[in-house]
Amino acid sequence: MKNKNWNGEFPEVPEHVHQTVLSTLAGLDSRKVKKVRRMKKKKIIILAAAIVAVLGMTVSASEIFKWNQKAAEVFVADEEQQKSLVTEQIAQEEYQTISDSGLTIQAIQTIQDNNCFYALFEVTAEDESMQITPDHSMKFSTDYPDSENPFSMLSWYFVDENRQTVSNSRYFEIIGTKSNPGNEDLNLKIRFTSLNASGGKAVDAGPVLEGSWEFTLNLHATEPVRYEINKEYQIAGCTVMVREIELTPISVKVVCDEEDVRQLETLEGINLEEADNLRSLFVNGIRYQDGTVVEEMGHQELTAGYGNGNYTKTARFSSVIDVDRVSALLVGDNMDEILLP
Amino acid sequence: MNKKQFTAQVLEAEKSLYHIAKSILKNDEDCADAMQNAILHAFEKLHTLRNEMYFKTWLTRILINECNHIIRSRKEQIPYEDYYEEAQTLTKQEDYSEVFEAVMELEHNYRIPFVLFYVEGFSIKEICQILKLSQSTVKTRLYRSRKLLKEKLAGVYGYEK
Repeated sequence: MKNKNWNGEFPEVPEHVHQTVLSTLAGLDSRKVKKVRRMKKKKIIILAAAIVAVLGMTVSASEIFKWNQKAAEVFVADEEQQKSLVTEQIAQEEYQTISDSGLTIQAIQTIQDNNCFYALFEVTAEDESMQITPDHSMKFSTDYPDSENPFSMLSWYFVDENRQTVSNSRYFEIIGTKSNPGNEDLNLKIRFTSLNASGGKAVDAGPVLEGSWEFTLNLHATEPVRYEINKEYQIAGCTVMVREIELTPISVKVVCDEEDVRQLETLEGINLEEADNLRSLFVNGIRYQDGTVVEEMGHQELTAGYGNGNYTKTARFSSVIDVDRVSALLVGDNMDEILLP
Repeated sequence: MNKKQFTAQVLEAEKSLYHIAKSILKNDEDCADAMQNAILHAFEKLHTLRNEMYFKTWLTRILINECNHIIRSRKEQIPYEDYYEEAQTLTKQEDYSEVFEAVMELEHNYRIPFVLFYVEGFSIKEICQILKLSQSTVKTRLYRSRKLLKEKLAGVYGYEK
């Protein structure tokens, strides 16, 4: 009797029950969160508490789901979208703050899916007379204890002066492009080791403050909505076989036949092997089922290339989209349509 | 245990929690309520959990309390028989396996230990802690539930008596 798969006879968790669980978890009162880790050194203080708790505020449900404003600006997400992405665990608030050597780093927010990653930190110098400018940089290393490095590229910088005035505190962003996302949740360790001054012309002038600030980010694996298309479309006057499209609220993946895309390459007079951009397959907009068109504000290509007889490209949307309502992708300067089934 | 670890462990146990709630309450809306209350209650009382190894057992105990609380509150509003009948009707609307329905037809006292042991893989010792019963009581109930199920399932999927 014990050998029978009884568990398989029981029903799966219904979607609405799962959503209730996710909403409940997303809305947990973070003020009751205990310390993330033990103190490693006397100087290092690790606090695990919501920003709102630090400010001594009472939070409403909408505030719990609300992203940091800087992150919301990067992804252009309204309150409903912010809530939705928190529930889907694409966006996560981080509650880790570490102080060492007169510098406090707070992990604020991560937003990520199977194609891209964004992390927002705030770096604050205890010495209020110290100014952290966009030309400063942070030195850090990353580690992936339980999995392979999913990133093909990581870039990082302090936000520029258009987004934040100069003071002793500044937001720091890490942006990653994934080429090997994996299907499991990812433990990402980020260990900052110094705040560095700029020597001008992108030359690092060396550390201003050195210390150890180590964060562990648990990133949820995102399952995109996948469409098998296998249909020919007229794109920039060429017939192109579109094989597959994947969508998440923040990015898109398009897979087309290699030979057809080579035609587009010839037409545009470019060479993809030399890292040229294929404009005719830029996702410049989406059409919703009700006919509304949302245009992209500048194409943000993540990866593109040939392989296995296909051309595959991924791109980040300039604003969060509602995946369930998308009826077509609009590509190239002519906004040629690729219809979704 | 921080919020993220708590969240991860709850999500890991989600299916199990649902099965247990379902075996007590049957109605999915009530299951969702019980799971929600259990998560909130557990998070609030997280500091009382002495050993994180026993998180799932501890959370399951809280969930069963919440399920019982829902049944009690329903009984105050409507007779239990009516609630049970209503829940049964809802159950039959779904496309459940005959094996699942047979388990659900077991009496409450037999059904819960059965689900904990055979469906969710808890040990006898853990079930004793969760249900606050002695080992002999749990074993007796498992024996009876096995016997009843064998009778109910005779012929289903070639199930041997």
